[in-house]
Amino acid sequence: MNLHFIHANILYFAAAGMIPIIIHLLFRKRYKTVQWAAMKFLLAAYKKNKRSLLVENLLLLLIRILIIILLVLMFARPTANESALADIFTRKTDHYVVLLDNSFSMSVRDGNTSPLERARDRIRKLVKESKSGDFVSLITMNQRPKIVDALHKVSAGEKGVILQQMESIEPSEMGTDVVGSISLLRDFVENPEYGQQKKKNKKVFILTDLQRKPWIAACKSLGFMKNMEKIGEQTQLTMVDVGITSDPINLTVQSIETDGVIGVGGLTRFVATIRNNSDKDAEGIAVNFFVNSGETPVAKDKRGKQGTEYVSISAGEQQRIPFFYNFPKMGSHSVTVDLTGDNLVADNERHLIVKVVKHIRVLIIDGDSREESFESETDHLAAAIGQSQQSIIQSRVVDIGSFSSSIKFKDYDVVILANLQTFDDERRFEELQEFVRKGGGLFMWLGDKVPVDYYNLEFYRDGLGVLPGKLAGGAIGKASDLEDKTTFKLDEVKKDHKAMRYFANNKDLLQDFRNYFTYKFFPVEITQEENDSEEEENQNEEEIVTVIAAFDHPKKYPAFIEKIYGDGKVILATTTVDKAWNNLHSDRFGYVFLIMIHEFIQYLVSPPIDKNNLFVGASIIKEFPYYVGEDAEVTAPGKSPIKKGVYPSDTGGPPYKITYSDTLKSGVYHLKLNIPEQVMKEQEILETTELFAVNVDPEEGDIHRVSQTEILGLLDGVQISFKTNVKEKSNIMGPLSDSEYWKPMLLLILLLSLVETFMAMWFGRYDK
Amino acid sequence: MEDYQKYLNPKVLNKINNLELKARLIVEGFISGLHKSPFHGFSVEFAQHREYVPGDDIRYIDWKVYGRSNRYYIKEYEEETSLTAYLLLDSSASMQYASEGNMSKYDYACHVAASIAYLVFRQQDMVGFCTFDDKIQKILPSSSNAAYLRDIVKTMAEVSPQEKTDISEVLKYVGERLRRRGLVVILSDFIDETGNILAGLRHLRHRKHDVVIMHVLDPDEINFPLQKLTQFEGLEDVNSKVIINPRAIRNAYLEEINKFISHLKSGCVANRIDYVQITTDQDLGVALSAYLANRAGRR
Repeated sequence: MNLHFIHANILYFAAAGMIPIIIHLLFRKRYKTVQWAAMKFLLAAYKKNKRSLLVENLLLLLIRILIIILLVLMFARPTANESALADIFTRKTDHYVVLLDNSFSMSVRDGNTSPLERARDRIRKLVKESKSGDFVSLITMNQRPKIVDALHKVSAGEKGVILQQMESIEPSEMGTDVVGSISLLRDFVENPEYGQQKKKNKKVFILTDLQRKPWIAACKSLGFMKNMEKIGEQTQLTMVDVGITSDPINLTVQSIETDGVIGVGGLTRFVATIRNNSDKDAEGIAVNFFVNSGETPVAKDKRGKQGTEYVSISAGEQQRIPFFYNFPKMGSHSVTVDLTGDNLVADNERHLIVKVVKHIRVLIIDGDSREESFESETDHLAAAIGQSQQSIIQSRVVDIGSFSSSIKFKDYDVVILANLQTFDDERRFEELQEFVRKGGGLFMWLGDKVPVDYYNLEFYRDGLGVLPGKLAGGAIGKASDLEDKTTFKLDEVKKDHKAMRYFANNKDLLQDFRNYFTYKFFPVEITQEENDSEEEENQNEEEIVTVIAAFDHPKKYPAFIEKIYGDGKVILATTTVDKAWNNLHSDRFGYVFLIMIHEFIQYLVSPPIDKNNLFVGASIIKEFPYYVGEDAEVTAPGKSPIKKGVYPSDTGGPPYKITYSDTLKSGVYHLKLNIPEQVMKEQEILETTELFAVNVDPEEGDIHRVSQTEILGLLDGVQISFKTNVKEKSNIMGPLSDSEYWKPMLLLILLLSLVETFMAMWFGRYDK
Repeated sequence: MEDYQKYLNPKVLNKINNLELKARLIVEGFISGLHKSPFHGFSVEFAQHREYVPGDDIRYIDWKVYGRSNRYYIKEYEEETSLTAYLLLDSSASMQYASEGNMSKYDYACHVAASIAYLVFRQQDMVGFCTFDDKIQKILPSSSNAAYLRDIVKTMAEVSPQEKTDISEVLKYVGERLRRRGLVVILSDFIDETGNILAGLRHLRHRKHDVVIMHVLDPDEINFPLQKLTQFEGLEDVNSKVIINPRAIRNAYLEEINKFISHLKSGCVANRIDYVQITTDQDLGVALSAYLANRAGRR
């Protein structure tokens, strides 16, 4: 409680509280002496009443002392803020519920302080000024909102415990989930376990830096607004802005990207995107590039540039900085980009785990093989892939007629079916399905050999097979040279699809991709609704069909369809891979085909969900189709390795699974497996350590704030008060006005005087 | 003769030094006020019955005889010539107490004793006298000589109250010494254990004495009107001291003393002893009335 006195000097007179004691002692010496005959009765009466006389005397003495001290205090004119002394007089028990934003934007430095430090300071004051009997609850606000201390009863000796718990809340590296945090807060406020008693006076404080993006987005959510209204109705809701009003510089490593699959020995290009999230231009910012972090910055490209680039980025702009690296070894590698020289550290570093492979092994099964040059179904395809030993893609073409049992799908990364009629051995369908489920890539091209019903039966399987859609009948269009050809172009192209990334960045290429002619194609029906890529990322393990491009046919039949199938992917092209049904191999469009084949193959080998590059707080989950030992070792950044058990999986996927959830720190995590040697030989496993990158959400690096006026406008209808980040004396959570308390003290003195008179009469002091 | 009545007021009597004179004034004043006294003489005893004749006072008809014989008889009395009144005066230290404006309990008791002695002598009866505290201090044998009053008064004056009271032992001693049956009048504040007091009184009753106790108290002792912080010192036990705010324990004190008086009174009733409580601010006539009432009751 923060109590102050306008005339503090008067407080010295509180010593006058000794006066009743002195008077008492003096009067004890001033008595008359009487020689008394009936002493026997007097002593008996005295003995009986001695104890009560003592208590009565002491009680009166105390009341008299209290009256004098209160008189002195009253003349000293005490002042305190409303939440302090007022509560004493009203005898309320308060329940302070503190929602503390500890997303990493709260760590932005402003001189020696940060929003989080300011928030801590506020909570320290709150705890210090809370009364014995009050309750304090602490909830953190981030992407994983958590009740740190549900209901802590304040007692004189226990304030330190609450403070310790508060101090133990570290700045997280997570972003802000305003909607989720407020939802948890409402659940907490309404939960009868957490103090719904009538006498409690619930005061909710939201301590936040009011980061613009998450708060604006939250205010657009109906659920969020409903929750805020309910909390406002049930509590005294206060928002405390602890954000920095100055304009700190913050640059964020927004992303690290690379092009396709990385092969050993080839020069790999990485692009780091750096964004200036502040309102000031940033100049001379050092951006460093690391491979397998801990090593010194490496050379960025073959032209001899250094591993550190100094960049200047205008306010609100972003810059793409290319780096190059030649990986000499296969396996997992980490790539790190960091920068220095701004006010928020957490988003200054980003990691990317890449898998370096020696080759992409492609099996091409030709369903319409011919002896003449470039007459076979796959001649153009094989030519487009190339046969160079230096090429990362190494292909093998097999005529369906000579497709022997010795050829195993699992020996390849991608299988391409071209105008395949059927497999001689029906088990091949099952094998192919299993191959894709375990992560293989399947690229299917159709043609005149394709039997519609048979495809639907064996590949589509009512949506459970690998075929992305059901063939809705025979091919549409005319492809014969003699016929009057109808041409179809690509009308709708999903530019943001990962397989189309290269096209999306090249306008001319994209234009030619749209413009090549298709004369004939199979109509395909998709029963599953089209999903965009964002949802695709969220729907782990589900089979998702995406139309990458569709024809300008009135029915918008798809040209390229993708299906995520288990850990693998399938792309179906509804026309032929040779020149029979399209002009992809003409002089003009040949390069389009070449690029498309390479891009699609590289896309097909990349896992559908990048399980090695995660956000802070996301669990590392690794599943294995074979036994990898019982214990693994996980090494978190800056920590010692810890043992982690590998358990049988019950999800219906691969039989062994390891989960590690303590990913609250960004950095590179190492998972080391103890795979038995026999298994390593059988499965041809070369490395036992897998890397995982855990990164902060770059959106949290945008430290622009929403103004008080704006947030109050957005929260229209919510009963909420707003405190700004000022440092007035005697304020718990904001600038509350101090009130004088001499009037209630005067009342108290009068009351005590009455009590004293009444007690004195009651005790027989004035009995005549 | 009515002027004598003013001497019944202790405050007036206090101004007269001669106790013998004062006793005479008290008794004369008292008797002069008894215009319609129901008492027809002092020291009378039953003699014989005679048949009622018209003109006799019907108040003297013996109704018991009438009940048995259906005839009217008058009770005839003759003067008793040999009544002996023994006056026992407490001279313990507690009798010294005197509240403001009042005479001490001892002085008051002396006045009462002297007055009774004068009254008895006036009836030609015998008076014995002694003072006591925890033992007999002075003792005067019984005599019917009126001049003997002077000796009694002189003895009263010589005694200085200073010792503790032990009534029980004193009464036992007195009981053993008094061979002739008589009237024992004890004037005391009876500050002693109730049990001891009653034991002594029972001893006297056992010896066939009529006993009247005159409980002499100061008005302060039964009203306890003290206000200021006071150190009380025991008159009989000088080591007993206590500083008390009298107002704080007034009720408790009154409860104690009333309990004692009640206990003593009921003990007296049980033993057919007359109990008279007199306070030092009362007219002395009250004490004499009580004495006479006792005598009348025994007729």
